[in-house]
Amino acid sequence: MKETAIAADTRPWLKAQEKPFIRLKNLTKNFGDFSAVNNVSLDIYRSELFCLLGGSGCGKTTLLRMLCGLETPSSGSIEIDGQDMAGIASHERPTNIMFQSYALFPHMNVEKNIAYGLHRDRVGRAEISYRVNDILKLVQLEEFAKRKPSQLSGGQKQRVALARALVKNPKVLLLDEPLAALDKKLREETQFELVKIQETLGVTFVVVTHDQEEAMSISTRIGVMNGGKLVQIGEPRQIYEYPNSRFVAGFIGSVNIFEGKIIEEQKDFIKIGSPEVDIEILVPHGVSCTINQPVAFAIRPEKIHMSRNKPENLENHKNPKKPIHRLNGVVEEVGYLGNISIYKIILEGGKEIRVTRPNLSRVEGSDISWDDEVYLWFDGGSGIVLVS
Amino acid sequence: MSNFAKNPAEKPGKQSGKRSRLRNLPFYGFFGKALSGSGLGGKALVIAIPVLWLLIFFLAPFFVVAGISFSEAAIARPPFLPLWQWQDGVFSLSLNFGNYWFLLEDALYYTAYINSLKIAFISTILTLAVGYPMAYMIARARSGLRNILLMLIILPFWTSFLLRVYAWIGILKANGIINNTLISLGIIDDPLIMLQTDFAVYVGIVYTYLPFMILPLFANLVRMDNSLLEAAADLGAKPFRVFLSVTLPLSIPGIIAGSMLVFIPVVGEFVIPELLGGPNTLMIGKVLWTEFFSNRDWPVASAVAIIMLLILVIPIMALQRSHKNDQGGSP
Repeated sequence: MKETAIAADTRPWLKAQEKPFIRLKNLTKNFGDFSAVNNVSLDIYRSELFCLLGGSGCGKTTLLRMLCGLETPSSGSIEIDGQDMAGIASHERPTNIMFQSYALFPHMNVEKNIAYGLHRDRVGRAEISYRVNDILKLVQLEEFAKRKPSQLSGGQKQRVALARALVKNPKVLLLDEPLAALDKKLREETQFELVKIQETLGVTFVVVTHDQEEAMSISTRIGVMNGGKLVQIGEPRQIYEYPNSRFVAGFIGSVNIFEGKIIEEQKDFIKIGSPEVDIEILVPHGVSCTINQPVAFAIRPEKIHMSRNKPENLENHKNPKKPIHRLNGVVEEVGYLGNISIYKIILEGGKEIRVTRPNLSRVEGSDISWDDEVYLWFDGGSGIVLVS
Repeated sequence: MSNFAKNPAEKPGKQSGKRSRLRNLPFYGFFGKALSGSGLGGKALVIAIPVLWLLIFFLAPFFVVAGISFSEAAIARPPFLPLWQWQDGVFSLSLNFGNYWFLLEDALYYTAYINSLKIAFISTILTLAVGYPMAYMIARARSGLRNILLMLIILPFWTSFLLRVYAWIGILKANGIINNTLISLGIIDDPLIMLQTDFAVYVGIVYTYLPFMILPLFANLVRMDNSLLEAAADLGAKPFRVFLSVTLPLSIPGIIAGSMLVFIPVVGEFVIPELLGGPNTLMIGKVLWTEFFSNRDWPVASAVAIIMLLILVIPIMALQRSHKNDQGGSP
């Protein structure tokens, strides 16, 4: 019971009466004929770490730039903490942005870079030095205060940029691909640091990223963007397990998609016939649809089981609560990633699917290898029915 | 997906280094061997060409002029005595410092130097004041318009410099375009005296040297990272503050380059003060000309030139030093 109470507390978007901190209404930005951001409406709550996720050119950076006033919306409105942002210039907004390139002033040292925003606010000398020292401590850069940006590593620059944006205590901190320029190892460490800083200060973060793993690991909620539109908003698990379209399913993680149509509809399950596999797929959860409607059945590679030996004691295929489906195939290719392996399997009908398996054993011989005939099975309930 | 490795048994890997392939090229072998045999790399060859150019066309004339400045004037052809002699097995070298001494004695030279530096300094400031906004505007213009504006800056170079200075005489003289216009409009009754004043010299210099200020400034400003300006605005700086605290300090290398390109040639400028300036416009270029062609005193003229060079070399070296410290500074 206690657990659900906490969960409810930290997820304001589940409460109907909660007032959103940032409110975007029908926001559109056109560049000539091209619509970079197309009719986006979005509510972000106080102290959220919200990720805008999408490929390059999907409009996520334009959306971020509109939030801090570097772009003017073509139509629609932005409201931050109850205040309409229309006509408020960038230097007057309660937002600060951290640029992808960091945009550190090359002619100022770390300390002066960080103090820049405070000087503009006419903060007193003593307070500036106090706050700069404080934030330098937070990002662990105290001994680098006198260095110029050109004398810093990529990770250090990233932290200076973060400190410079944070020191002004913005109501909203906007981060444009904050970790993209770092190498993988450093990126993973910095992710956790970023989340820790966000939780310590309680500032609302809006992060733009193209890296779905990054978005999954740091955010409270993700907004997936495609072609200027916000196509799905949800918690990381929601987005991954219950994508609402083929695009989202394919963009977040990898997925096997069986195209087909509904051939039977019952109260607690539907049956999908797919010409790509010679079985009828039973899905136990209710989907509003009609007979003969074209749909896709999507299942993640890790949710398909695989063995060289014929599996015994499997539940009955016909059990609508837990419908187990069996397939046979031949291993076409193997990708060894260390912790897991990815297998490309050609099914009997010629359809190609992907299956991943954790490498539980260190011994090489026990592995499934090239050209092995394998038995595959999955639970119809672990897949998703996609109608769009 | 690059995660998939082919069955290792199917595709045996084949490794070959790029460097070894380069060595197999025939020309690399030939030049490589010839150069490394003589102790010279390809790099040395590349550097040798500009070094040779500077030796022949800059250092050699400099030493010739320096040599003449230490000799004595004579009514002869050339109009100076040789610096060294070889007579009866005796090599005699005579260095005449009298020319330099003469420059110190006569206040004319001293005044001319100071006046030249003053005119060069003021016109550099004026050129910068006119050129900076122009360079800034061109750098900020959209790319199609930008090329047209740059063309317009370079366009005057297509006509002779001398012609363009003459054209200013037509504009500034007593019955020139400006005076005629003002009189016909009834704004003035008597023509303004503009020609043969310092004003005309400044107009001529600013007009002539403006492209040399604008082009390096433009090159600097156009490379300015826009996200720096956006960051400054985002951190609360109003537009003019963004300019003062980010654009201006970051364009200092462009300002220095442009100012040097204007200041240095203006110090020795001859044509503009000769054509537009009056008898009171004393500049070292004019003095040099008089010594060389009217007085035919080549040694004194050379001494004037060498002193001018020294005066200019000192600030150039100091500037380069400060520039170097600024760029490769250590903590």
